[in-house]
Amino acid sequence: MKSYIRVTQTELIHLLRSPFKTTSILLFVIAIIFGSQNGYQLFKTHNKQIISISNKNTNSIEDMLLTYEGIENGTLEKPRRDPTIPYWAIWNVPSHAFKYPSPMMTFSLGQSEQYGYYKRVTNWSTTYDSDLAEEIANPERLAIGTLDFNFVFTYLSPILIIILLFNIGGLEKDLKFDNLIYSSKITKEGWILARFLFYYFFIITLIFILTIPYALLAGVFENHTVQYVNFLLLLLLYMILWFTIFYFINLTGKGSSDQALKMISIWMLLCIIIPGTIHQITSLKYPTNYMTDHLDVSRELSNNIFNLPEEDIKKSLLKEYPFLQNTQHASDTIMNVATINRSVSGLINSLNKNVSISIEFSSKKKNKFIKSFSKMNPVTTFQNEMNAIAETDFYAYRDYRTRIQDMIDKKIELILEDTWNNITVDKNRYAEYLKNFK
Amino acid sequence: MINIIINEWKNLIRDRLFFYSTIFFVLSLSLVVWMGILQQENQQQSQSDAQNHVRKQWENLEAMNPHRAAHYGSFAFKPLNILNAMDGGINDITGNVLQLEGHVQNEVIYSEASQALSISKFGKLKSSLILQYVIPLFLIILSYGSISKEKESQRIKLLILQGASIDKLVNAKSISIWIYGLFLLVVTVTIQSILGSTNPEIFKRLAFILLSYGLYYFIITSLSTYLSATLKDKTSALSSILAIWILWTIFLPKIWGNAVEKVHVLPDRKTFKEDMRAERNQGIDGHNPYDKRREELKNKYLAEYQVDSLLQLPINFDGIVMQADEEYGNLVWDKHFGSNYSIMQKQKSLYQFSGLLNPFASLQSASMGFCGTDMIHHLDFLKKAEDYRRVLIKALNDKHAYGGSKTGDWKWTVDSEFFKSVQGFTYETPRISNHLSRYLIDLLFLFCWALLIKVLIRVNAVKVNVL
Amino acid sequence: MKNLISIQNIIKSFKNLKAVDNLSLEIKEGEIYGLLGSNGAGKSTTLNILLGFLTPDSGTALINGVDTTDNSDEARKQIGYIPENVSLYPYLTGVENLDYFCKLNDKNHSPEKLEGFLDKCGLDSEFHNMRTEMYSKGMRQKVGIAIALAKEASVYLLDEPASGLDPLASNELSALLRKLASNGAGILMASHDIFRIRETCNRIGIIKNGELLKEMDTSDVSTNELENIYIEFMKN
Repeated sequence: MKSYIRVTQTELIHLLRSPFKTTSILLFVIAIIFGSQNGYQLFKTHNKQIISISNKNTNSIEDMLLTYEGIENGTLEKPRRDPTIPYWAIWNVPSHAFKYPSPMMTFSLGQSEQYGYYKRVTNWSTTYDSDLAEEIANPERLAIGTLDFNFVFTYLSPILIIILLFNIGGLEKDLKFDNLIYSSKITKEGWILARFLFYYFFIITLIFILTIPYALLAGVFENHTVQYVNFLLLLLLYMILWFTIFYFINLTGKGSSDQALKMISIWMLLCIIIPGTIHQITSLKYPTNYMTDHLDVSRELSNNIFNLPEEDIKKSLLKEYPFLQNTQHASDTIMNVATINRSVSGLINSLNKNVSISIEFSSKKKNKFIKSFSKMNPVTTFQNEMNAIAETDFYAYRDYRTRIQDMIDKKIELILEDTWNNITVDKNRYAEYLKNFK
Repeated sequence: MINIIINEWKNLIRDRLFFYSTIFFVLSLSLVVWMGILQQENQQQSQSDAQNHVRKQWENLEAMNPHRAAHYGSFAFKPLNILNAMDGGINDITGNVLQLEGHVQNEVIYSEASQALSISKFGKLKSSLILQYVIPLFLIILSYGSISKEKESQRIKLLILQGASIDKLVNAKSISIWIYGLFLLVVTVTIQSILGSTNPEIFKRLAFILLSYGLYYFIITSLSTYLSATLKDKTSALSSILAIWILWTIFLPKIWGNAVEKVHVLPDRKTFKEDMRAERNQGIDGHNPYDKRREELKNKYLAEYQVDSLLQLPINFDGIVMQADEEYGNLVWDKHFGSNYSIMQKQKSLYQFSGLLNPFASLQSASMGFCGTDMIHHLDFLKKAEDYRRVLIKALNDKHAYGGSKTGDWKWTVDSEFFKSVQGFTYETPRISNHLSRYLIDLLFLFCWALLIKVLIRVNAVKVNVL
Repeated sequence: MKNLISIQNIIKSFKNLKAVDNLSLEIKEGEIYGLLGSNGAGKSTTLNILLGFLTPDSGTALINGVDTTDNSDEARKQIGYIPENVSLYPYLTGVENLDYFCKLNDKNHSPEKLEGFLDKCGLDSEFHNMRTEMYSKGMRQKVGIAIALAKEASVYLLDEPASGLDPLASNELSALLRKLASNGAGILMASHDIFRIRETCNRIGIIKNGELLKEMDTSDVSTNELENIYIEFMKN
């Protein structure tokens, strides 16, 4: 046991006397910091934008309340879009759906660059509107991707490990004194393992230490300590995967160059070739969705609804929203065209919801297919797990879309209920509306 | 030098591992090219079906007011250039659907990347992935020890004594491996030509692709052989060339890409939309009958036609207003979208300059460019789609204004014959000759790197220690 | 007879270690000179200076009047060299290796002539067309000798040439070297094999710590006497 400890202790000397290894560690540290900074920057940008929009919304609410006061005391004329009509009142309720960034986003930008994170929700909104597309960015830069912590850890830490480990056992073989080592009390397996363990604990400790400042800055420990711990466990597991693979390479290696080449080939296979292959196969099985069903709703099907006679629209609305049966307009014998016109968005929303369900279903199938390769594609699996912890994966944005849909539904329900009940909106009513979208 | 090259090839061919690796590469490349073309064709079919579907809906429009048709609008679906099968470029990231409607210039949406979990950070397994990442690594494996092994075995003394100088050795060995890289490249391009469709334009693009990759492989093999000669042993040579490869292919593109965005900054969507809205509101609001500018336009037309009211006009003033609104809007879109596109192009130019430090960046830029899957081609599609939108909306507004209806008659409709007469959107990938100047810098940097390494070899060969 | 190899007051140091210390020697046409010394005596350094792979700190080394430092390319054209460990291309046959090295020297010999060189060096014809990865050390050494022979040089430098050769092959090598010398070549053979040096060379120089301690004609000493002199010098 003592000899193994001695081996581990000597490893520090090997490391410190190798400028190549120490330089690589330094570059890696710089990359981690750079990546974390990028993540933190985006986290701050998202928060800043959300606060800015919220502040703006607060201002417009104040303006609206003043408008109501002015209308009520006669000092203001009703504007063209009369806010005393429920439709326009709710239109003027600033309701943004935000995808609040998790502080863990600092460590994994994931797919956040593929989606929007704020959306003004109206009764005409859908969960596939253009303002939910990615932020304005150079597409080539998006294709290359941002250097975030996740990328540095997932793809560059194995390379760092290669640099640190490739000559363990290999150098001794190159210089032809490996037998000298193996003929002592220590076993070859134990000797290599002891040296590997040194680097394993070294790298893990280094990475853990490097995450702490940014975790503190982003406020991870306020409400996301559990996620942080899970994240660290994931890092540990990922490192074990690579160390295990490389251990067997070094055990059977024929020299430093042989070991280095095998290691880099494995890296290439796991990080580039296998994910690329699965990506291509997935594209073959599930080609890009051009969303024609959704486009049909926004065009053809909406147009058909607009062309329907008011009576038919009314019937459809009553069927779709049974609560409308108890409203004033439901029992009115005289057709109020304005009421019907202001309610049409309810029917279109139903169509959109149905289409969204089918789109989400096909995405679900696609994701299931991708996940079926998880054992063969550990790198992508780990990456997606990290994204999930940081709430920057596809599912986080799917949940965001669900919340948007809930807001749309709420708006429509309010419009329908108050319009069909001929409510005149005043300041108090408006304040009630605001409570629904806080 | 020829003798050395022939000798190197004899050594390679007689190595069973090399032989099987070559077979493996040829088969893999064939499979990958075929898969790429198959995926391309599938997606092209989907795109074509979507475009036809939308067109059919348009042609089947019955009795619709032209302005309502402008809101009904159309869609442009981004088609794929056949060389997308070789290098997908930005196509997985960018949206594929662009709504074309009145009053608004939309952004392209619905990217493939947003439709599922993340799968690969380096892209699909297309030939570009193998040609850019795998083959250079294999060439490094073949060349990193080419001179070191001569030094380690002391054979180098014999070689020099027999008249082979160091720089002749380095050049000949690097060329012999470069030829192998070219062979794999030619195999890929040939299979692509056989399995995919071809025309003179595609051949031209393929020729440039061959040139770009050929230059990059020359850089890799020469640099690797040079390091093999100048560093003390093959392990040092391997470490160094791998470090350079990692820096070039993984590290620098991301760092430079991020840095470029900080130099030329794009606006965020919120600011972009707000600025556009603010300027747009300075123009005519076609839907607001109380708009001041509308009033001014009305007076102009009343005077022109010498009538007292809009109802007396022989034309439909609403159509005039819509088109005036549209034209003003187009100025606003051109300014803001134009500004964004200009910033993106500056970003691209600055990124291309990273070729000074990183030939891999030049290769990627050239590869995407010649395959027609880079930002330049994407912006070309967006521009042409927008041009079409303007033509479409003008046709509708002109019909609305001069088609026989009167002002205020929003129930006036046109039939499907009119809608069929409006041409659908078609898009052809531009000729490479139209954009070649944008990629000359990439080719230039690749060429400069090749030259630099040649000079390095020439200058430093004499300093190589053969002992 | 002219000096084919001339070393004048060569000094060469590596950091603080003097590898060659004021060495001077001359080898004429038709002479075989044996440089006798133990490991680290400076034999290989001397050879490397003559081959132009090392630059002396001071002094001159000439091959047939050509300075090996100023005009190394020209000097090398006249040298046939046999290293201690001959490394050949494992995937080429003996003939192909020989052909390759000859072609580098702009000599395009026919296959028969190439095989003739290999025969002359004692390599059995059944091995000529076998890949050298199957060769023993001695067989590779013979190909190395053939490479030197095929160059038809005026000067031959040999570094432990008999290392790894069996007695018969060593004798054949000695006979070959004597034949070359009789045709006018100047040969410098560095070795620590006292017997082989005595058998092959006309003159012997004993080198220790980079210094040439003694020169003698082979005819003046027997093998035993040579051994005693050598040990005496090495002890002191």
